[in-house]
Parts: sequence; C-alpha cells; structure tokens
Amino acid sequence: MATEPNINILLVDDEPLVLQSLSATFRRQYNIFTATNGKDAIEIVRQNHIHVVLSDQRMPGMLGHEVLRVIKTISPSTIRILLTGYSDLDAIMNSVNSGEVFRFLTKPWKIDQLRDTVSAAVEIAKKVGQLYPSKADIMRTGGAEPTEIVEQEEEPPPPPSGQKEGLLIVEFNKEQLQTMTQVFGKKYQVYPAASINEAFDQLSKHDIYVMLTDLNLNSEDGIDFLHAVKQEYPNIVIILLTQVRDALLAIKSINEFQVYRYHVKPCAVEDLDKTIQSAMNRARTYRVQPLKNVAYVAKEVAPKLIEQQTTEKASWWRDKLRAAKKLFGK
Amino acid sequence: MANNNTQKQQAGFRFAELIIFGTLFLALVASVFVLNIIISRDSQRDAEQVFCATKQSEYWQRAYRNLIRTQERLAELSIIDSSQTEEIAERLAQLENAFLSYKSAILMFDSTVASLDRGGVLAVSGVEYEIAPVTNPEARKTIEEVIRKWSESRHVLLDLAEKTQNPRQIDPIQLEKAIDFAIQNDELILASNRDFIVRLGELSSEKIRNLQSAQVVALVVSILVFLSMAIRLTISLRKQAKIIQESQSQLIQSEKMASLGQMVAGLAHEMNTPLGFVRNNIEIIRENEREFQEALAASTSILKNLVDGNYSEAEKQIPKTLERLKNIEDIGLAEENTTMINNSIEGLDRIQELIVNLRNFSRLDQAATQLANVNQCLDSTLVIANHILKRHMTVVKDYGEVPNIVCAPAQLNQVFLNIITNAAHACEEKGEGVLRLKTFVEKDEVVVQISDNGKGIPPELMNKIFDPFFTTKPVGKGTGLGLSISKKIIEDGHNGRITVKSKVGHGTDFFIHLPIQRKQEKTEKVFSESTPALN
Repeated sequence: MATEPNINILLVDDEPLVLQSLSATFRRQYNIFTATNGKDAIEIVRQNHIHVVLSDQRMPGMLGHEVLRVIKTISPSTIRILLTGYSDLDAIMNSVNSGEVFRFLTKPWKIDQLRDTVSAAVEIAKKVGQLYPSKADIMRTGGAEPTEIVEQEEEPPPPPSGQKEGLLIVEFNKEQLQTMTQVFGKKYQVYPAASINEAFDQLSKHDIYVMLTDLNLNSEDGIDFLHAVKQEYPNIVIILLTQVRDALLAIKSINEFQVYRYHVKPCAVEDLDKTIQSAMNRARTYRVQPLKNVAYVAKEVAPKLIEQQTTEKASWWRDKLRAAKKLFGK
Repeated sequence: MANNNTQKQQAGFRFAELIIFGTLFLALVASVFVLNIIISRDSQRDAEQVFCATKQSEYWQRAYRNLIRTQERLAELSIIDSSQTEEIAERLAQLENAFLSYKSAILMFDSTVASLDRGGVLAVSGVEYEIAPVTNPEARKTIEEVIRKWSESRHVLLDLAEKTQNPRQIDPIQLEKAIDFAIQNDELILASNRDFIVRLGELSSEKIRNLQSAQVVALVVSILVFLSMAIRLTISLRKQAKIIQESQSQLIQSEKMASLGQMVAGLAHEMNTPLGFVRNNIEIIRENEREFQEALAASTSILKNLVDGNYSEAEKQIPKTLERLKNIEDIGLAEENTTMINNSIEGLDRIQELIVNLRNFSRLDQAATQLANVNQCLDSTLVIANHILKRHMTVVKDYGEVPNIVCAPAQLNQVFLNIITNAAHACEEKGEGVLRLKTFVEKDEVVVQISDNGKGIPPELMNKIFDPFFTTKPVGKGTGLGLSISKKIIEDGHNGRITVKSKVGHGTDFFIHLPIQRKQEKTEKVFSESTPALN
C-alpha cells in the first residue's frame, strides 16, 4: 500500500459510522475529507482539489447522483464513484444519464474491491488532472478569494467535413433495424448489424464513432462483447437502447463498458437523435483529447481493475477484435 | 387474464339474457294491453251492431204499422162521404201522419240494413253512430236472407215513400205490393233480427271469453318470466358477488405482497448500511490485527532472546521492533481497532433492532388480534418507512397517553405505512416536508392523526381516494389499493372510521378513529360443538 498523502479523497455519506469506517479504510493511504450531506460535499469540492469522490446515493436533501452531477461541473477532473445500498431504479437510471459516474458500488461492499476501484480512480484522476489547471495553483495565484472554476462544456471539434461519422446500430429485430437505419441514415454513415457477429464484422471493417445497441444484455454474451469493444475501442461511445428498465443492467453497463446513455424503448425519435448527436460530439472529443475519456485512461493507468472484470468470454472477444483490427488496420 | 376474459364474457352473456327476459316480459304485458283494447273495441262494435239491430226491428215495426194504417186510412177515406168534410180532414191528417211515419221509419230501416251489411253511419235522433259491417259469418248468416229479400224489394217500399208527394194519391198498386212484402216478410225480419241479436251476443261473449283466457295466460306467462328473471338475476348476482369477493381477496393479497415488497425494500436499505460498515470494519480490524500479531511476534522473540541470554540477537531486533511499535502507536491502530469494534457492535445492535422492529411490524409470531398500543405501532412503522422519509421528511411525534386497544397490529401497521408513504410522496415535489403523528383520546375512541404539509388532495378527487385502483401515481408505481384496503381494515376489521381533510398546497390530514371498547364479536365457547358428546 503506497501512501499518497497529496491525493485527496472525499467521502460522502449521511451515516457517520459509514464515514468512520471508510476513513479507516483509506486514511493511511490518502488524505481524507468527509461530508455528511451533499451541500457540504460540494463546498469541500469548491475549496479543495479532490481527486476522487465516493458518495452514498440515498441521503437527506440531495441524492448522491445529484451531488455527483454538481461536482462534475465544478471539478471535471474528479472521478466519481456512487455507493448505493437500496437499488433504487430511478436514481440509478438518472445517474447513468446525468452523472457520468465512473463506477457503481453496491452495499455491502468488499474491502478489496473498494480499494481497487478507488485506487484505479486515483490513477485516472492523476492522469486526467493533467488536462485541467490544478486548483491549488489557481488558489495560490488567485489570492485569498477562492475562485470557482465551472467547466464550460468545451466546444467539441467540428465534424469532419465531407464524410459522415460512423454509427453502428445493433438490433436483433430486423424491422426495427431497418427503420432506424432509414431514420439515421440521412445524418450519419449507418452500419446496421442484426447480431453480435455482424456487429463484430462492422467494427473490424469500419470507423465507428457511436454504437447504438440493443444487445441482449441479460445473456453474458452481450455484456462480454460490449466490455471487449469498449476495451479495444475505448473511443466508441455506447448508447443502450433496450426494452427493459433494469437497475442491475444499468449498473453493469456503467461498470463494464461505461455506457453513455440508457434509453428505454419505445422512445421519441427526437430524444434519441439528440442523444446520438451529443454522443457524436463526445466521440469527436475523445479522438482529439483522449484524456477526457475515462474508459481510455482507465485502460491506460488501471489495467488491473479492468482485467479483473474481464471474463473468459470477454477476453476471447477481445482477442478476436484485436486480431481483426490488425488484419484490417482499423 | 384468461379468468378476467371469461368473467367479461359471462357478464356479457348475463346482460344479453337480461335483455331477452326483459323484452319477453314487456311483450307479454303489452299483449295483455292489446288484448284488452281489442276486447273493448270489439264489444263496443258488437254493442253498436246490437243497437243497430234493435233499431232495425223497431223501425221495421213502425214502418209496418204505419203502412197498414196508411192503407186503412186510404180505405176509410174512399168510403167516407164527401160531405163530411170534418171527418175527411181528420182522416186526411191521420193518413198524412201515418204515411210520414212510414216514410221516416222505412228510410231508417233501410239505413240500418245497409249499415249492418256494409257498414255506415246511423243517425238516430240527431246522434250519429258509426256501425261496423257484420263480418262474422255466423252472425251474418242470420241477417243474410233479410238483406237479400230487402235488396230485392226495397225499391218498392222506398219508391212508395219517396215518390209519393201526396199520400192521397198513393199508387194503390205500389201500396199493395209494399203491403204484400211487409206482410210476407214481417215474421222473417223480426225473427232474423232476434236471431241476429242473440247470435251476436253469444258470439261476442264467446270472443270475450277467449280473449280473457288469452289475457290470463299472457299474465301468468309474464309473471313466470318475471319470476325466472328474478331467479336468474339472483343467481348471477350471487355468482358475481362471489367472483368479486374472490378477486377482492386476491387484490388484498397482492396489496399485501406490495406492502411486503415495500417493507423488504426499506429493510434491505436499512440493513445494508450497518452491514456495509460492520463488514468493512471487521476487514480493517483483521488487517490491523495482522500488524499487532507481527509486532507481538517480534516482541516475543526479543523477550525470548533476552531470557535466553542471546543479547546480541536481541539488540539486533530491538530497533526494528521499536520502530514497528512506534508506527502502530503513531497510526493509532489500537484506538482504531477499539473504535472499529465499538462501531461494529453498534451496527450489529442496529441490525438486531431492525429485526425486532420487523417482527413488531409484521407480528408474525403473535396473535393476529391482541392488545396493543398505537404509539408503538407508529414507531415500528416509522422504522420500516425510514428509507422513504429519510431524504426529505422531518418527523414530528406528538403522542398522547392512549390506552391499549384490542386490534390487529400488523394490519394497523399496514394502514399507517400506507398513509405515511403517501405523505412522503405528497412532499416529494416540495423537496422537504413535515410528517406529524399525533395520537389522542376523543370520547370513546383512540384517534391517530397523520398529517403532512405536502401538495394536498384536490377536492374533486377527495371522494375517489378510497376507491379501489384509484391512484395518481404513474403506472407500476402504486396499485391504487392502499387506501381502499386501509379503509377496509379500519372500518370492517376494527369498527373504526377513517377520514381525510386536505387543502391543496397546504397538506393532508388523515384521522383514524379506533374504538377503545370493541364489540364482542363472538361469544366465547368452551367447545366447538353445541352439545359435546363423550363416549
């Protein structure tokens, strides 16, 4: 256990005994801040450079995912982890779609898993931190008044002129696949796939920006495949379009392949279009500034954590994808 | 689903059946009316025909009499001396009189014959009677001959009446002919007239009898239809009531499951938190303990070396061990362990408390009905509802001194949980709210008041909130049964009352009135049978 006293970790939970326990877990390794509610937590993030925040979901006042969303705007380099006990579906859906959480941990947790996740988050934070000016620096130069940096969503790079961006749509229902291909074919270069194997083909042969998928994620196949895809192509932004509103699935999709949005069928074309558009922006940003891509950084700096999640089947897919990539040079 | 469909079909079938029964019944009743109308119309017609026939015979007799008189007067005139002017004048007046009477009578007679034959209007002393033609073949048979004979000779009698301007110059040949006809047919006309009246009376009373028996039959059948409809309806209503009862008990079961799910969810959340940190603490204690063990082993080794006299060996070990011990002290491992252990014990206590509360809440191990205190019920419900309330609700308890009452605590808890959950949801939009729990005694009742300062219930929904399946929550969120079952539990199960006061934007107050003295529901018995027999 390497001690890194200049790494700041913020723990947020309304239960003091949980805070004590978590502090005891990390206090010898990192510098610990604690808050018993969202307001205090946000204030701490304003005042200090926090690398990693670990928050409970259910708290009086602000809910965990709301706190994380605010923290994201104040300090984009802070890596956010949500600790949730009672699997509250809506809350989890909301945090998937608004908080861009790095990982979900469920109560009761295992100490090793918690430590691995937090240390991976710390590594990512250190790397991502290079992108943003250090708060300490700002405070030093800015004088007594603590200046607040609210990240303006940077203008994403403009779409490449002359060519359409690749959108891979994976949908088992042929009719729906055709409809979506027609609808989105005007704006993007759509690559339809009606099975995992077809998706694999398309991925190997084409340059994909965004993947809109309705894989049957309850079967391990789908999860494994997407996990492998996200590892081999961390810049692809994955949108889930599925019939089932399943909290467990949402947690898995965050933890395994950093899903960008979780849409429940049927949804409005406009909503989906908006999501795809913002996913495209995100994908372009990733290509220019890979450090903004948590999945990419995680793969670089915390391969151990990723490796732990990789199942046999996923690694088989990954090897296949790797081989195909070599073959087609994409 | 399938069950539901068959139920619907059954209901549809019953509806169709009801319509058939109803139509049948109405048709029968209507037919009785129609028969009645027919009877009265027929008997009116018959009465008119009888009247007409009576008039006919009357006019015939008059005409006949006056015809004879006319002839007599004429004869008298011919033999009276022309010098006896007075007498002549008298006879002339009589002749005139008789002839005029004959004339009017024979015209009337003709019109009665025509009326009976073909129908027509009969004017008797200024009143007009509409006479229907005689259609009944039997009745007609009796008048047919008269009609035939009259149509052959009527011109003789009518000509005599109409063409004669002055009775003195009556054509004697025509008069002779008329008198011949009258004398020959007088008997026939009167007899057939009599026969006709008798026949008609017979026929009409026969017809009335038939119609009346048809009426009686229709009435009896309609009563039967009505009875069978009533029986069918009673049976189907019973069946439906049974189906409703069954589905209701199913619903109550599903609501029970829903509140069980709510309870489990709440419990899982409350449990996970202490479980989480207790587990974490123990792992930390284990890690720390490893360091204690190592330090202990090093210290023991030094001590052993000192005892054994291996001073140089001990000296070598001392600095490293000291550093280790110092490190343990610096980090505060001993204190940390103490804290972790104490916290863990507190966490375990909390879990234990939760289990006790769960038991209190569901009262699985206790009798369904027992003496209990509503304050305690509220407390154990609050623990279960904590996860719903914790985020945004402040709970204010205002418990009064209330006596224990005989009740089903598990059911009361279900009611309280329902209302408290609703209160929490009512304050959700506001972001924060106050839940007030007040208990007090009013007359012979314990009253539980559960108030919130949430969005309130709009007046137009006020009388719907206790309806089954009424919910304002999105699909899948609420069964819409919570309050209807709560009402059932309070009113049917506890002989109590549940009332609501609400103001939009200000909040809602639920009042649950529970009688302190419960009516003895069953007389207690020693034996289950009325007369126990031992052998």
